[in-house]
Amino acid sequence: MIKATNLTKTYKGGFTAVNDISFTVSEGEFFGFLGPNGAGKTTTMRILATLDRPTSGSVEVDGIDVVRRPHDIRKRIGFAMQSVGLDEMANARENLMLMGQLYGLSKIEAKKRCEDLLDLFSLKEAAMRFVSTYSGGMRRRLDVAVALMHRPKVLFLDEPTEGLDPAGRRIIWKYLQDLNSNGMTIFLTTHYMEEADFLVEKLAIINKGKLVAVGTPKDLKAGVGSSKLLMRVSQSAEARAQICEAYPGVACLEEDHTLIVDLKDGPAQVQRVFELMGQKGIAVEEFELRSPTLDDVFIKFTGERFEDEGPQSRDPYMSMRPR
Amino acid sequence: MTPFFRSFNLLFVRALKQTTRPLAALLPSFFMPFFFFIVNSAGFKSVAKLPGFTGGNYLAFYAPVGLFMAVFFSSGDAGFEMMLDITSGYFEKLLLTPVPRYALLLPRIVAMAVRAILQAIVMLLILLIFGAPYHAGFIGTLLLFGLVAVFAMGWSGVGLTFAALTRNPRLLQSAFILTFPLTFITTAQLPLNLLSGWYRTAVLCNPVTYILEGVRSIMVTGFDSEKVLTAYLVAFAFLALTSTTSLLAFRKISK
Repeated sequence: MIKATNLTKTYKGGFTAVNDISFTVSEGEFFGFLGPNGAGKTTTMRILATLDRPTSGSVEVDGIDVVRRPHDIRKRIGFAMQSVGLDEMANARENLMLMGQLYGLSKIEAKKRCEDLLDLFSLKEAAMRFVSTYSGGMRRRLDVAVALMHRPKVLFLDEPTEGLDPAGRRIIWKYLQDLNSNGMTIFLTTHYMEEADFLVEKLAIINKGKLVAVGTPKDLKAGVGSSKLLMRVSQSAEARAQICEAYPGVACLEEDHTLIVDLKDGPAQVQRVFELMGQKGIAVEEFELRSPTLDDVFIKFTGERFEDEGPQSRDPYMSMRPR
Repeated sequence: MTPFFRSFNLLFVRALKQTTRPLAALLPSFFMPFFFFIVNSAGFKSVAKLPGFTGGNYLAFYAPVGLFMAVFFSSGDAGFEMMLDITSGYFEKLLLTPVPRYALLLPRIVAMAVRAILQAIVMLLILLIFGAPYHAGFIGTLLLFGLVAVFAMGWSGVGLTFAALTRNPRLLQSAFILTFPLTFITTAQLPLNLLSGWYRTAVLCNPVTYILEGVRSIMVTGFDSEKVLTAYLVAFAFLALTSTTSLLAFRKISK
């Protein structure tokens, strides 16, 4: 459904926002495009949606070249941008009706679709109020609804839950899952790892304009390593060091009074570890079972934390520290 | 209906709605011309006694300025409305639609013509209530509204060009200052025969002078076909110029 080949975007002044990236998205796929702020996600999406032109490389959406036939692409896509773009001095119905009709729906079709979407996005009660009176969550929901008016084949979502509270985020996620299960191809950019983990079937990680990894979340996380058991114990530093030395596979993080066990044998190993601790009289104050996250995947491929904190150690234990 | 006209129609209705929301935002475009009309027609009353003054009493002489200003001061709003769309992200939403590109711009210009006529009607009624004379018949009234509509479209092109080129609300706001010299370095205050020196030359170079003289000729001083024809020619030339600049600027931001 989407095919980007050697896509590059260099702005005036020489800044390269997207640097020779290639990826494909299959029809009906929920595809995630992850990266920290400034990584090149939005630029890529704007090119895919015909709002920007690539400096080099090619992009096809539904088999159509975005540079040569942008008009044909526009009929097939919906785009909810990072910053909500609505007519603030119009109500929700007017926003939806206008967009629907501009995309070619008849007035009757647009009206029906509009009412369906107002229902779906729980905006019916506020439908006659000016958008300028809406909360952030309502605006975001309406923005997604507008992008869906003409039943696009591909939905582009640029950080659709940015600025929403967790409850609002969950509501949007549910809508998106429903849309995808009905066959819509969704291309989502986000810098929320949890969001990508929850929603997408396949993802690409971009950093500083370069693609660093592509795959399913499961495969990418499996590539990072096994699950870890973190235990905070009260024993002295010397005792902890002895434990680590005596039991290979147990790592110590002195600073946090934490022992880390690499669960190479799977979760069943947890019981054996606790039995061992009991036999040795080691009191466990707190424990946490951590599976690899996409944050760990990002660290593995870039050597940096996701939150733009700058270079970090490549040591996977860094990401295992309880926060 | 072709895709262009279908889109044009939809966006024209939207542009009309946009110009009236919120309704209170329309008040300054009436208040300022009304203020100038009341203050100047009273303050400069004795100017009518000057030898060579040819406009009847000063209230009658100044009334066309009031009507013209109402249209002039508001038709730049097309640029502000487009700027609102640009800064809110809505303009990019419109660019994502499969409508012909120029159908995104032209409805705004035509909506300004409709707004100008409606404003001219309201302002004319206000002026009549406050004692302004009105000598135009049916044809004259049509010509009057036609003239202000063409000029409003032309001036809206200036706002749209600035909006597209700068994409900066503050810079666009600063362009509003142009309306003052263009309004007052004309025959707004005194008839041309009482002006002299560089000021007279500047007045003659200002295209707004000819529009104003056309409006005055229709409304007050008696239909002068030469003045009206000149006013129309200047208005259409101005419209052609600013439409071209706004289309070029628009093409740049809608690639």
